[in-house]
Amino acid sequence: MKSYLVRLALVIATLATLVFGTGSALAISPGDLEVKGTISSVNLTGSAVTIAPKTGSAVTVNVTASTNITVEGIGQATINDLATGFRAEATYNKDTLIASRIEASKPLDKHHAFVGTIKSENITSGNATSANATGNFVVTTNKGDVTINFNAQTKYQVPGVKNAVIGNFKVGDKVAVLAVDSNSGNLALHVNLIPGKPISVQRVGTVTAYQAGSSITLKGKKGDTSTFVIDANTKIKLNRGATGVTVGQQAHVLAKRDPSSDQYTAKTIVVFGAKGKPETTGKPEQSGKPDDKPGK
Amino acid sequence: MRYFYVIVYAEQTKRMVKSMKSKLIPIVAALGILVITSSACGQQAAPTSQAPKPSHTATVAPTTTPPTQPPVTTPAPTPKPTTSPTPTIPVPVALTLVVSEPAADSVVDVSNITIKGKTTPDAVVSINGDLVDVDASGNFSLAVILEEGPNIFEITATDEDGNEMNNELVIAYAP
Repeated sequence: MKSYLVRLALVIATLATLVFGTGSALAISPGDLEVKGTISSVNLTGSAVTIAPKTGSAVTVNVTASTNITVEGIGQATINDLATGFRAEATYNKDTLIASRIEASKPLDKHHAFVGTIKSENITSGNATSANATGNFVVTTNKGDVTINFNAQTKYQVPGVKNAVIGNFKVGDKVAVLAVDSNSGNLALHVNLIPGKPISVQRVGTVTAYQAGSSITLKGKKGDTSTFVIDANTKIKLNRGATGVTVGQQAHVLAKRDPSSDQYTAKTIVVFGAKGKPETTGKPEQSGKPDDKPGK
Repeated sequence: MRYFYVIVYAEQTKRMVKSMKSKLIPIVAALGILVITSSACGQQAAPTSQAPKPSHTATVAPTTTPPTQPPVTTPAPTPKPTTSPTPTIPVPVALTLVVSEPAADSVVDVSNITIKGKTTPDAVVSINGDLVDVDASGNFSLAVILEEGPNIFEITATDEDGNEMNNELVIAYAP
């Protein structure tokens, strides 16, 4: 039985080598191979592009009229839009070396992440509610104002909104942007809205009310109170010899906000025993189920 | 007769000694003053840590100016050991939260990264609402999978003194 399994594994490995070849090239369909790496040369006259993978030999693929070339931030492109140093992924025929697809993006160091608040918006063409609007917005970051262009290739993300567009963003919104260097400055590839109300929170305070399986209320250092729902998924973590949750003790609550109800549900409650006590052994976590009644 | 000369001679010798004694005492006394004065001047000009040697001359002329004593450094009073133990008052440690890697606002080309940082021991740390283990030295780490584009991580630490610290980390994934 053992020798049979070994032989089977060898057969599979041999087949895999024959089908997939070597290096980083991977087959995606019979007769096709895939290579991912950095463009080491672009031959415009010969219509060929050489891609060097991180490991293995470089592959030179031929570009024809049927080759689908896309470049990040540009969309549909031609071989003229490719350049040495671009990161690229190509699918090509292993016999003819003709590329059916080349997806390229600029080097990593040409990309930038920005976090800030939208100071102004300017749509130069298209409609704010359409996906192909172009224009720019100014984002105030902690390093100053940054002008970022957007176009039809820019992708937007707003929590709870499907197929978000530039119209879902307004002045004053906090955003995180991934942009790439372009001839006209920073071009936004992704714009994500950072919601005003945090999706998750962590609070610490003295337990002023606690109902196992129902809710917990904390009073913070500044006198503010926060109440969290406890459900069956709430975990109670007892540290340093703590035996349960009791009113008057200090507790840390990690909670998630339900956008529909604006209610925070405790995901984890952490309590500590008195200093100097050993770590709780045996069952450090309890479920927040009502019948568990931690602390009782 | 012989006895007479002896007595006379003895009497003369006695007088001579008495006379010489009365003349020698002021001379010796004067010499004592000179010796003591020069010694005192030397001490003032170049004070040393050594105490002046007692001079027998001083006993000869007790009315002279006493020598200037070198400055004496008074040692700091050594606290006496107490017999009752002093209760240890715990020193509150300020809450800290440092994200060591990756750098804020960085762009990466891999989807799997590890967020690492350091906080105060016994602090509770969460990343986007998920509890993260903190070791005895305060180190924490969490492996995360990035989505294409900017990824926002809200890192929060709280301590037993009721303090909270937040760190917003944005890592962009550009595949």
